[in-house]
Formats: sequence, structure tokens, C-alpha cells
Amino acid sequence: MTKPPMLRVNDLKVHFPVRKTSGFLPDRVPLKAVDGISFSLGAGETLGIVGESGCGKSTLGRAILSLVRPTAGRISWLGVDIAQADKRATRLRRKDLQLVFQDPLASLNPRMTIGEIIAEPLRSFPAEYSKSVRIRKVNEMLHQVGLSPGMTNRYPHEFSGGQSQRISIARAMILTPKLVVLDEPVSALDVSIQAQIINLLKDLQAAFDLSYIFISHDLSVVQHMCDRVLIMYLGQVVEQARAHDLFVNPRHPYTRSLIDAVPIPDPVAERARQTVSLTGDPPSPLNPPAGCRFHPRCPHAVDACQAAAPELETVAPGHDTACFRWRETL
Amino acid sequence: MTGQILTAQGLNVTFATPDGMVRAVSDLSFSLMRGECLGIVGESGSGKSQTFLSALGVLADNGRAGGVVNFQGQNLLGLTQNALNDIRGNRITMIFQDALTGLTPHMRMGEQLTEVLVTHKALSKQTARARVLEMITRLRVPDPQQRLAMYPHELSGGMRQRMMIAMALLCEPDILIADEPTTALDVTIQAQVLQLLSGLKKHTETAIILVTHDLGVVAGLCERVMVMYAGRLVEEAPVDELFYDPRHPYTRGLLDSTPRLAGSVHAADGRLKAIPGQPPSLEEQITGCAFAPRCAGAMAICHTERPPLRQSGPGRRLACHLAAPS
Repeated sequence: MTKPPMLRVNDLKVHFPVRKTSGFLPDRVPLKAVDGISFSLGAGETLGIVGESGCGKSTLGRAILSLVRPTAGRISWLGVDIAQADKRATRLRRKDLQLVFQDPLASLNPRMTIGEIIAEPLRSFPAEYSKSVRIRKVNEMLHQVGLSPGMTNRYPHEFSGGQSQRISIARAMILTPKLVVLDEPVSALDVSIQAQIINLLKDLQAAFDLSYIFISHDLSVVQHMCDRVLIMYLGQVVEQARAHDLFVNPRHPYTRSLIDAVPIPDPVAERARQTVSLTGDPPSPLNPPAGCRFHPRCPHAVDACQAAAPELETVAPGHDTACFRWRETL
Repeated sequence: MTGQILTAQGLNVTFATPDGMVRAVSDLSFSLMRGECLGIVGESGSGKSQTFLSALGVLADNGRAGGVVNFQGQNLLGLTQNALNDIRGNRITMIFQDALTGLTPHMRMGEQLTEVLVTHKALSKQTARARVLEMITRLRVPDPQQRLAMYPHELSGGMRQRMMIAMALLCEPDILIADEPTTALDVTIQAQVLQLLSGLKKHTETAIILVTHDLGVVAGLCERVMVMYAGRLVEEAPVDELFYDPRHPYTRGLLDSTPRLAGSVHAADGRLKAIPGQPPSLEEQITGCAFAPRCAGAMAICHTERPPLRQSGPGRRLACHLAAPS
């Protein structure tokens, strides 16, 4: 089921100038949050973006939504380059591209009723959505996300975390977008609620033929949600593959250690498991290691890994990894 | 290394709010054995953290605790702040989810850590410093000397959590309460901290109370698990029995809704088995079983009468009408 890509990202870079904290002269150095990333996304597809904090996964999501301006590279949406587009074009495109945040309560205005919150995106396009249409659409949307239409006059604080996330999802979906970036949408929720929201997102995807970019650090949720997965480390992609291939046949040592590190909710399996946990912390993106950025933490690193940075290499159909030693470390 | 180190009887925690009295923990009784690791699992608002904050006398100002929490022959709930200060940070220590708020921002790590030993063990600064260095070396903190000269904000999240664990272990406490110790950490760092805690279990006599929502973390570390729902204990069991023979519908639901890497428990259509509905708010007056509105097997009695907590096997307790002998 290969569909033509709706979104194509080509060698995308997002660098932030950061004031240097050490040294004699004041100076600005670039923080390379996203440093040369390419991928494409088809209609109805879910792409998972996984990595540790600070790896640039949220910045990548924001760049796609034109919330931060890329330093270099191309983002083409339905064939049009949007990386350097003007404000008017960006505004019109907002209908297609929406975002759901991690913390549902912090992303809802406490002084607006949820009816107002969900209708707000519609009000940006008053010519198309009259008041009566707005009311009808809000009620339909509430029903669709599992809330009762009678709740429109309540305020965000009256809702639990799971319900608030349903409200933010309703707000993101009301303009019937084509792509929704989900930035850790279930990380702040309790386990029993998390499963409800995941199921809801899957239902909405089927109903509206949506594409998702699912940003998360939780591999078990990613495996459940995503068709394809992209593993990021310090602003770069180290591996990308179909979800099944990635979890069954991880090729990059970083991917393998991420999968190994997930605790298994099964006492016997967990006791029998031998974790070879990574030592050290991810280095600062301000000063990434030379060569392969992962080499200081990699159990398989050799001299070559310090000398040069490995490029993404196709190891199987649809499966790329950036590691010099993927053949030897299988 | 047997014997109870901590017991609670009829523990109640309430908060006075403008909207009335809120019950965070209701009639909780449990015991902790010397050297064991006890897991406390539940959703946010289930009272799992408040239980231990109340035992240590650090509830928010509007909170009140009733009942008995017995530690070495004294009721912790009846002690003065001074008497508690001899126990907190010394015999019973606590680590939190967010290490940054648990550390003093304007003191170097070395100072903060030595202060613990100087205060509680009356050691000289020199001896204390040597002990601190020994401890953080044991916790495999790289470049220990350098790290001790740093302020908390200069350390990474994983390193801060390790410093907080070091601080909690310095006095070789009887009990370490770990409240979501790895929730804020990345998976690879979480794995490091979990290894640290499991090493600790092997090499010290310290009992660990692990408060968490992550069943994977519980499976790896704990010997016994208590499941809480809406401020009450609903099921208690040895860890294997809880995972392989869960008897409370909430425990079962929790296990079923946990996504797992490979071989997940899915319903036939590839969806996760979610528990419908949401936990009751604490202001609600609950008659009957608090889980009944979300329970697929709820009977008429579940909505009217609260199921008593009963012994349901060796080392097992359960509060559910469905399992009651008819």
C-alpha cells in the first residue's frame, strides 16, 4: 500500500544561535537541534519519531508545522516547498497541518469554555464557517472524541487529564487536517487512560484518513501506533525502518540499546533479561562528538567511528541505518 | 533480615479544600519487611504518594493524617517535628521524581551531601567528605571529585537522580521511599538508575518502597506489590502472582492496557484493551466499590456496598465482590 508521499523533508536543518557560556569574548554558537534530516510521509501513514530528550524530535515536528523557521533544507507539502513560504500561505496551510501537545491542561486556555476552545480554529476562517456551522461541527467533534455535547459550556479545569487530551484532539481535528503532529500525546496520562487515547487516535485516523507524525520516547507505544519509525540521536537520524522491522531487526547499536532499556511488565522475563545498559548521558547538542555522534556511548565503537560520520545506508528494503559496523554487530 | 520494619494501621489522609474535605487515603493498613522491595502502583490521585508523605510528616499545610504508622515502636504520626527530623533523611529517606526540586540550588553537591552526614551522624567534615566520595564512586558517578564541585543545575537529569539516591543512602537508612524515581528520565538513563537500585537491594539491608505507575519497573525490582485505587488498597500480592494471576478487575485492566514491546495483549481488532471511563475525583462521595463504574463485571452489590479487603491467599489481599465466596 504505497501511496505517494504528502510530505517530503529534504536535508532539513534547524540551528538555534546560543550564547556561549564559557570563553573570554561573547560569542554565539549554533545549537544544531535538527541537523540534516530527510524523510517522506504518505497519506494515512503514521511515522514515529523517537529519541531521548534533547535529540531534536520536537523541533523537527515544529519545523514541519512552520512554528520554527528551518535554517536550511526543503519541506515540501503536497509538492509545494513550505520551508520558506510567506505568512499568508502558511496561514492557509494551517488547516491541513495541526498539532497536539503533551500537557493537555497547559495547552488549553483556562478562561475559555471548551466549546470556544474547539471552535477557535474555525473562527480563523469566518467566511467558510458561520456560527451555526461552528456549533454543529463542535457538537459532532465532541461526540467523535467521546465527550458529550452538553459539556461545551464547561471550563478546562473541570476536566481530568484524559478528557483534556480529548479536548485538544478535538481542537486539532476540527478543521479536518491531513496531517497531525502528535508531540508526546499520551506521556502525561495514566496507563489506563493512555490506552483510551491511543485507541481514539487510531479511530480518528481511520475515519479521516489522517497522517500522523507521532513524537515519543516510549517505544512500546510507538510500536503500537506507527507504521514507520525514525530514530534520532543528537539531531540526526541513526535508523529508519518499518516499525515491525525496526523492533524485530534493529541494526543500529543505539536503537538496540533503546529497545533493551525498556522494562518488561513481566517479572520472570524481566529477571531473566540481561540488560547491557548504555553508560553515560547523551552529549550536549552544542558540542556533539566528532565522527559518529554516538561513538562515545557505543559498545561497538572502533577508531573509524571517531574519524568520520557514517551516512545512512540501506540495509534492507525500506530500512536504513547510519552505522559503519552494522554488518559485524548483527 | 526478617521482621517488620514499618507497619501502618487505619491510615487516613484528608485535605481541607475550599470545596470541602477531600480524602486522599482511606483506611490503609500494610506492613513492610526489612530489606524487601514493595511496589505501590496506582493512577495519579490514587493516594500512593500521599501515603508516604503523611508518614514522614511532610503533607501540604491543609493535609491531615490519622491512624498509626509504626516505625521501630514509635507512631510517626504522633511525633514532633524535632523527633521526625532525627528519622527523616536518616532512618527513612525519600527520593522524588524531579531531582532538581529535591536538591538545594545554591549549594554545591559536595556541601549538600556532606551536610547530611554532619547533621545526622555528627561526623567531622573530613570524614563526611570521604564517605560521600566513597558513596558516589560506588554509584558509578564518573569524575566524582568534579561532580561534587558542581551545582545541581550543572548536572544532567540522570546524574542529579544519582546524587539524590546517594544522598538518600548516605546514612544507610532502614527504608528508602522512591517516588517515581525514573519517570522523568530517558529510557537509557532509567535503565542505569534501575540497575543501581537493584544492585542496592542486593548489597544493603535497606527496604525500598517503590511508588510508580510503570508496571515494567515494578516487575524488575519488587517482591511484593500493592495496587491502590481512589485512595484504597484494592489488591496486594507477591509480584509474580500479581502479574500472572491478577484478581482485581482494576489490576487486570491495568496489565491489559499496558502496551508492551512485541507480543502485546491486544483485543482482536489490534486495539489496546483500555479501561473505559476515568478514576473518580476525590471530592466525590463514593458508595460501593470505587471501581464499579469502570468495571465490566460489576454487579448490583458493587454499586451499593464497598467490598471489604479480605485475605485471598498466602500474602494476598483483595477487595472485590466478584471474588467473594458466595
